[in-house]
Amino acid sequence: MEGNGQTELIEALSGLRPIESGLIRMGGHDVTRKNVSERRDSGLSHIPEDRHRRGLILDYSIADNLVLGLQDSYVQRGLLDGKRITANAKEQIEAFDIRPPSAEIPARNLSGGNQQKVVIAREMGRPFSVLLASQPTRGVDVGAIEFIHSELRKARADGKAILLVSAELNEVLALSDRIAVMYRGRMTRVMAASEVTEESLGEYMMGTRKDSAA
Amino acid sequence: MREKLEEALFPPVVALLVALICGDLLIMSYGQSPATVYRLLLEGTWGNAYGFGQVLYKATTLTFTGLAVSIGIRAGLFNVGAESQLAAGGFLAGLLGLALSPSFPLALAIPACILAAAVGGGLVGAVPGYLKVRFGAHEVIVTIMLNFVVLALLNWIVAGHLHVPETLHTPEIRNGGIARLSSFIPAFHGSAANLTIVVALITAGLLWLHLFRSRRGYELRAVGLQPEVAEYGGVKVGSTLMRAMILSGAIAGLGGINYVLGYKGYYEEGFAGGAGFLGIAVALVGRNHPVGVVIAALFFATLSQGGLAIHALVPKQLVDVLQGVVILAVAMSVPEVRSALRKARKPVAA
Repeated sequence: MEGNGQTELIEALSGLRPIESGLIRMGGHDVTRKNVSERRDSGLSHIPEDRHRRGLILDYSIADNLVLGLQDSYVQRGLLDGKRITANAKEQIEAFDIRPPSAEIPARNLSGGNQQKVVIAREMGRPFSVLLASQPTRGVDVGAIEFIHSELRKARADGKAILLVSAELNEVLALSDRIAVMYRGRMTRVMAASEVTEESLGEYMMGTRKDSAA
Repeated sequence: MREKLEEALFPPVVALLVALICGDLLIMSYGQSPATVYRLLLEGTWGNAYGFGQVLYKATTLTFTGLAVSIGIRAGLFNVGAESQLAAGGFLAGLLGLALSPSFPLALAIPACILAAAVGGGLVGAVPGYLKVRFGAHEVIVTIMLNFVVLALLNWIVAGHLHVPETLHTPEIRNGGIARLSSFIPAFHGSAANLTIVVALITAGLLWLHLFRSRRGYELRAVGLQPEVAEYGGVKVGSTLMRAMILSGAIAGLGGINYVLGYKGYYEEGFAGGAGFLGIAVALVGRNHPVGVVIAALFFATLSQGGLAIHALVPKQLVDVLQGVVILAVAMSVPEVRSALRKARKPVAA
């Protein structure tokens, strides 16, 4: 259930929020003190919960949005390499079926589902090892939901670590290997998806059941 | 691409039409024919070499201040301090020109003085940048206040320590002077136009490259449009704002060389003469695009020079009114201002 610290957890993990205590390790490397772009460089991808507030520069073209966060790697002789940016856009638009398939139109003019596909393409269409997927299917059409789910499954099959945060119980149950429940800012329970039913999950979420909190 | 261009041109063109209509009405209220007055205005500006030279001279300073304001707006900053940044740039350039010995090679002296102008403006720009990033002080308030502080400080230095007796200006620079256009094209004789215009055009070109083709420019515009998304994209928002403010100040400061190195050869109290503030209008009409800014600077320079030409028929303040109308009309129609107004209204509605 939203408002129990999931947003803050994701922000802390992605580097958008300063960490007060604790340690974050990725593949054995300590990234606690690393900033957003350093974490991204070490293989962290992040689908933000609100694509309009965090994920897309609405007035930037699809091509420019597809390199957001990766802009450093597109520099050639001091300037951005427009050709490579366009080539990347073409590739991603095709791979992720973004419509309309034009690199130049501003992200603002896309449907919600296609805007989300731009974010997904950017975050998953590059090498990564850990993915923070926050509400990845919020406000998108059914077709896009299925597409996004299959992308997430593919990434899991490739051995990527995915932290999925979702308000959709079905989504959580359908995609997860392990499920953690956050209640009032704490992770109250971590369990294997196989031992979870919708009812027991609901009770943990309401805070009515809190045996053996993790 | 075409749509973008149409969208960019629409507000200034509408503004121009509105201004023309207002101008017609005003001119007729003085019992004159608009056609005659406009013809006189064009003849006095683009119609002869001297007038055109004056237009180029005025447009040069306005290009710098317009570019300065526009890079601020691109980063989401409203720099109202171009006036004092311009003055500080001119002052530092003049100071170095005074200090350098005449035997110092001119080919080095000029770049050094130009650099000094950028440093002068950049220093004044750094203050609101730092206060904004460190303490969240709003740059509009800080730059307005800083205008008073810096101009007063410069006046004190000049009046107290550097001026030629009986005047408000410093002695003439000994090195670093920039050649007038009239020394290449004799027809420009008597006009203030000088090679600073080349520096202005190069600056506009470089700024275009920076804004639209460089990583820093990509990040700067992202911060201006959606700072939280920029942050998500790994952009260091604070240092981007700081850099934008310093760059904005430095470009405004460069404008100082037009008068100090290119025209008079000395720093004079009040030489900025409102060009810093008019830079805001130039940036808005030019839609914060370097090419647009150059065109808008030419337009405002034409109006300001044209005022002198039509003085015989109608008061020259007429062009000030026209300028005001253009600014208002553009301000009402450009998206940046509209969204700022929407934001300003929000708390009341909530």
